[in-house]
Amino acid sequence: MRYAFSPEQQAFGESATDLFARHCSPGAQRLSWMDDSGRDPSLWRGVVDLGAPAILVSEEYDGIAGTECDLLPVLEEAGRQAVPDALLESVFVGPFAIVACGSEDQRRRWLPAIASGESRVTIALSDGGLAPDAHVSDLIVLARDGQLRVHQAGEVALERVHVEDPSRRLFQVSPRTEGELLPSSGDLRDQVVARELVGSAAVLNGIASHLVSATVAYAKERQQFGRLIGSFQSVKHLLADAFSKVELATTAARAATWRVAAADPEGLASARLARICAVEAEFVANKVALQVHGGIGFTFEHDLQLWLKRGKALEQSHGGRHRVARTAGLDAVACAQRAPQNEEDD
Amino acid sequence: MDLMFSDDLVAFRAEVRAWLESNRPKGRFQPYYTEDGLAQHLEWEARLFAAGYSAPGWPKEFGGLGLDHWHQLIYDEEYARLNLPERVNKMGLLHGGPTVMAHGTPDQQEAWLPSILNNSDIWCQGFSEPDAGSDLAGLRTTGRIEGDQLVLNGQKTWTSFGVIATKMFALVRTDREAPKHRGISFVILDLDTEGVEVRPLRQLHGHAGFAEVFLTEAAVPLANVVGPHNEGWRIAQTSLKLERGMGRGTHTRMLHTVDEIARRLGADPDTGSLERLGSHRAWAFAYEQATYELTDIMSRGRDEGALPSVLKLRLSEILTGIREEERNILGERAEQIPAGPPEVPLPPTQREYWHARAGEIYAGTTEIQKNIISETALGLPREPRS
Repeated sequence: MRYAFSPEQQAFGESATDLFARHCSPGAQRLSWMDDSGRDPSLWRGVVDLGAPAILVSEEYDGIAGTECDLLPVLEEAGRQAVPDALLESVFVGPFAIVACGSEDQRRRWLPAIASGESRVTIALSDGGLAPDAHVSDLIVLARDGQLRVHQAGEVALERVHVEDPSRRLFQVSPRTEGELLPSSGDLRDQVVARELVGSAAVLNGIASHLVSATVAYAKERQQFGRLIGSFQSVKHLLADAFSKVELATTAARAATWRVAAADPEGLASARLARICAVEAEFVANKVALQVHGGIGFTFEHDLQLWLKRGKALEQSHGGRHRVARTAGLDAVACAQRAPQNEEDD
Repeated sequence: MDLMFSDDLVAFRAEVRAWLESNRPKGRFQPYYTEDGLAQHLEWEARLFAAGYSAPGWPKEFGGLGLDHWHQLIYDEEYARLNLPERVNKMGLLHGGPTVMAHGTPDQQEAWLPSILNNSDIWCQGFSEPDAGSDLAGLRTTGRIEGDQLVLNGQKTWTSFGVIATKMFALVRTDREAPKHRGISFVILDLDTEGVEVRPLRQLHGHAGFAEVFLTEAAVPLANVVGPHNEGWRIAQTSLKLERGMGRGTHTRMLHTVDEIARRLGADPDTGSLERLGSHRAWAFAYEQATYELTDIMSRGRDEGALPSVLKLRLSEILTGIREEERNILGERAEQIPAGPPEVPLPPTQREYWHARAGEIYAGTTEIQKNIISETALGLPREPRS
């Protein structure tokens, strides 16, 4: 057993850290809020140079043939630095949908271009769902009647849906053609959903981790009543509580990702559990971060809002908070019925 | 990352499971603080001892099986899975014994360890006092050197297994002039020493295994001090760390508890209950995985940092949440118990509920864990220590 990332995975994560720091600083993001695109092409080129979109693509299609776990450090870091690009969709869920559900012909046509970064992909997994970064994507995967269809950028009309987080770019996509059905997407939909759940959990855990560490840093410099506010138990305990939840949620997401990647029969159920922990931990971190920052954190000038708003968006995105919890509850009932019952129980 | 149990561990699990299933006691035991109950528990302990399962994690030189952290975890999971009896000598087997192994002299190890392992001595922990709970280092029980003896005066309380114990490992103040953490010694005493009085202390859920222990001019050999004189605080960290570290199957019991409340939900549960159940199941999964992660870290000999405190904090809050949900499901029936005298132990549902609440207090309260986490993991300013 080994819970830690491998040295290669760690190095991959560190490269992503450097890349994001160069391109997605809060200052750079603020500049991008003004323009419609809001995307820095050089960031995407950097992501491609890292090999991220090629990780889940097999060597046969010019990919790297890595695993879902390899992408975790990048997704966590994307959250930690509030990367505006929809990397979850473009390097993880989107490519996976085509890898898993595409026909041989479709894979041959699309995967090499995805792996090389020539084609950028996005995906919306619920019917009528909004597709992030559709305006910079070449392939847009949409759900209809429980199946997935791939649309070329030129065959859709995009309408931007404005959202609280000025860095996010969400679009209502109206296809002008039928698109191409991914033939196995009806049968394998759960596998795609499982990746969305663990991947979005990883991003949320990164966001929450930053919210806690940025707030700890602030509590170590802000003074009131002649003392650092981080010396008050009321503040220390809020932070310890949030930290402990984020720690467990991070471990849960890593473990669930490993199960999903290993085709464990419990993979999808574990992915839901990991997603719930990530949402609930981020919820607490979000609350604590603003509370401890106080008034300064509520100003438009303060960068905390990048993580506060992104966090609130991702709590509800990718299937909604309550639906996932309810399905996990049904899983738990089914699991309890299968579990052996001790005779001593009353 | 590789989260697969090795073939070796899978085989060990099968071996332990087979043994426990064929040797497990039939029916439920009486509480250990009754005469019949103690006999039942000790008979079970004797059977475990004979099979080498009394303390399988102890090194072979001290009579254990020398199991590593992962094998111990498997053993604990299988023990918890079958809901087997509470280990009445766990303070000796899991805390006192390992402390003596780490800090005791060869003579002390030879004198004490075999009788812990075969349960001819039951150990209890004498740390807390009426005025030294969270502020443990504020303890006031004194030890005065007279010749080759240490004469003890004071009171210990919240002593788990105190009513059946024969020996206690205690912290006593041996230098009143020294700073709070530096004038304490770690000493082992026989509870039949003259001047020691054990009074049972019933808990609010009716359990009566607790005790308070009064020490009046109780003289113990100076040779019973473990580790250097006045360095008991440091010695005690071994035991405190063990207490909040390894879960000892708590993750297995937690998942089992989620199953229990899921079964109580009935055929057509409402949406709110399902959502809350989903959340409880999620945190139980996270706690299980974090327990594995801690085991991984310990088995690689790496520094576990504040993870034991993180686990203890989350454990108690997750468990309380699950048990609160059980009460929600039971509704007005949650309070109902069979007829009987008021102090009689509560039936399992209520007992487990209140036991979960106790978990937020014992082995370092929620607030103490939060202090530890915020100071060690987050580097926030420390609380005043004296």
